[in-house]
Amino acid sequence: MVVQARDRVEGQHQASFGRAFRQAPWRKHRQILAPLAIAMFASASFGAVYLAETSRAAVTGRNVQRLRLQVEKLGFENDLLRAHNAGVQSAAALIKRAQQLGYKPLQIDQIEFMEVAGFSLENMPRVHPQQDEHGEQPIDPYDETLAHWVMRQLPKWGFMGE
Amino acid sequence: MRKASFHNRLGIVTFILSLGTLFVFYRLISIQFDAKAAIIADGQPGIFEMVRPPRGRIYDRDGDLLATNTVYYELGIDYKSLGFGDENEDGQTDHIDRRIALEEVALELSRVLEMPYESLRPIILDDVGLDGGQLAYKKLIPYMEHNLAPDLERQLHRLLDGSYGPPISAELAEQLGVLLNRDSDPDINPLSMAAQLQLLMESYGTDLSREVSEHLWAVLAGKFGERLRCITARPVLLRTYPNGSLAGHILGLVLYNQTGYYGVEGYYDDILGGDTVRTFKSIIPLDVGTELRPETNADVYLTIDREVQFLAEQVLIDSINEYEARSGMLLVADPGTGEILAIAATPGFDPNDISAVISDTENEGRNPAVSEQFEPGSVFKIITMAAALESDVFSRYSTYYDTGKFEYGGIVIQNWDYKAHELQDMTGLLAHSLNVGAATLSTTLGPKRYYDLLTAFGIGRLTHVDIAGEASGLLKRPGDPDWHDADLATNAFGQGVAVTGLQLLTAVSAVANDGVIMQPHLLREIREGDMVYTVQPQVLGRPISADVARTLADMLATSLQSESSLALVEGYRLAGKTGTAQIPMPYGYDPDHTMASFIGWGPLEDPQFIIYVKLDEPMISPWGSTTAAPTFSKMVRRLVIHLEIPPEDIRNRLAANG
Repeated sequence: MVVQARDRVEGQHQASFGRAFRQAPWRKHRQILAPLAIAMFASASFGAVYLAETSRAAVTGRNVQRLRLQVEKLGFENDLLRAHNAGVQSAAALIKRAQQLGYKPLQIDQIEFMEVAGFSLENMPRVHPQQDEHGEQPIDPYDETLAHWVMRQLPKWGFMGE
Repeated sequence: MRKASFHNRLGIVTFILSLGTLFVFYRLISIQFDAKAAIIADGQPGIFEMVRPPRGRIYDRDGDLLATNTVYYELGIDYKSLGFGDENEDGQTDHIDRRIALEEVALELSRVLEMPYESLRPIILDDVGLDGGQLAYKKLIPYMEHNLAPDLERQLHRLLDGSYGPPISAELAEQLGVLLNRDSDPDINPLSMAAQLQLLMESYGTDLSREVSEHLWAVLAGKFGERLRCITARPVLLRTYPNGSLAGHILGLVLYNQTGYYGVEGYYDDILGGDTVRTFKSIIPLDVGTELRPETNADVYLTIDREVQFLAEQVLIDSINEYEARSGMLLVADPGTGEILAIAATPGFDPNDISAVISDTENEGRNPAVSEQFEPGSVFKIITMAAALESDVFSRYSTYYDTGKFEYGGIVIQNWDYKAHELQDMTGLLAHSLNVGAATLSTTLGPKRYYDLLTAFGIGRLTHVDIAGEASGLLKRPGDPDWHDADLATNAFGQGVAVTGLQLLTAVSAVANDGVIMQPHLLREIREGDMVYTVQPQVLGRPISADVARTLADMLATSLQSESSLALVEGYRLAGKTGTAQIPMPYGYDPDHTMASFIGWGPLEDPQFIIYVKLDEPMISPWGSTTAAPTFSKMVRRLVIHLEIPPEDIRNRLAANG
């Protein structure tokens, strides 16, 4: 009974679709064209986005290449200026300039020492810093032999008196 | 009707969409499968390059630049971009035209560079076949001076004054003049000169003659103008030493292959020069960033003090001239840390002049302070005396009777003045520099004790200083095939033993530094980006006790004062010893020439410098006491001012004040 009712409903639907397509055949065309158009639109959108991104990446890449060239060029200019500056500040150039300005090397007997309250030997400038117990000590080379090491360890192992 | 219209509209929309899709797909496919791009991709979508990052710089202890890189240009010819009419009227290629064009290029380039045409022509045309197509690129000048390179400003000036390039109109000349004089306000027009020139050319458009336009575009591209379009100038870095020959021996040099030789450049070549990396430089913009880029190199800071180095070289040269010596060396170091402050040696060299250094086959950039071995002479008595005092066999007050002659091992040893000095104590032995006394000490100690102590002082061994090309010196010991009994006696006053200048300085610095020898070194810091590696002073050995060192230093200071040595500097207590060595020859010693030397340090209570002076074959006087000793004094006078070391009385007063 139920099966018969369902068959009847389906039959009515088919009949109504058939009638609709007969009345307006463009509906069938639209049903085919719509997904096709959507697919084409999606593909075109994808392609357009792909092209846009690729070209944008290419433009960025070119910019990076250009900037790198600029960095390289600036590096060269920097080196050139640095070398020039170093030449101007070289010992010979400075001595020449000082002589042109009328300076002469200071002689030992021309120095006058003045007493400054609170100044002590520790404040004197030195070639090498004073090494105190808190500072860094010179590093002794490690040249201990195995025999020496064993001898040093013996008291710890209880074989020899302290 | 309505149905048909709707159907048509739908068809049109579908058609347009299809066209759009097809176009997009066509572009995708044409770009993706472009035949030209495929050829490029299959062939060379870029170039492989051997890239070496710029060499690290060298600074002195105060940050003054000693070695850096400067820009030179590699001038080359790109044969493929040579422009010439290579077709005859019959349409055939005439290879002769290519050679004629190359000759014109050589002629034009010789005018631009002001170089002789005869020297340029063979470089451009040799190895080139009749069709000129065998070569793609050829290096013409590997390192061209910067002022010859085709920079924009210089080329525009030449275009303006008519010395190079096509003739230009007065109007264009005026506008170029404004550009070159930078008359425009940089706030209003912040564009670079190249951009401004480009704008200027674009504003002229087709009004600019073809010749002028092509010339200006070539100038903008960094070439020598349109007529030399095939000539390229590529910037390359080359080592430069701003101080010229100053510290040349210390620095060494870098050859055209960017490899360091001798000195610091040779020793630290791996740190300064780094590794050459083979990189692929893609021409495809999408590949940017994927290339392997070499790491930057580290900078090196030396213990050298540029001012002390300058003073040392000046004092040495003055002394060589004053005493008419053949050559010499002057070393300054800090005995407390082993830091080398200066090494002056002659003949010097300018590391900028590579060809001159290479052609000097005798010296070849070596540092005599570490590579030259010589018999030290009487300054070696310091080591002998240290051995005697350390052995406890002799004390400061031990005496011996000097007869003027001492026979040992089949030879007779005499004093330098051939006189007998009768009863002498150890200070007297040093003050009079008595060979007989020194031989007495070494022979009394015996070979085992004596040579063991010399070895402990580092004699005959490398100091492992960080300078390339160090020699080890020569110390023969019993058992060596060329050792004789007599050597024990002669070694005591510096004969039959060979040292380098730095080896001697290092050994004697133990006496100045409470018996401790510090590792001599030139490296103070390595800086690589944010990382700093600082060298710590290292103990090389303790050949003698602190007591012996202080006693010996006091004896040397007293002996200098007692003989009113020319090495003394008023106000400062210094210790030291003169030396006058005979120069060994294949058979015996040179009867006419000597090697004069002095080694000393100060201030005695707190040594801050140790100086070794050596003058080879001084003609004015053969003696170290009258040539090397005053040279030492001159250096100390300059050094105490530079290092701000006050005289003894001021120091004592400061110490008393606490």
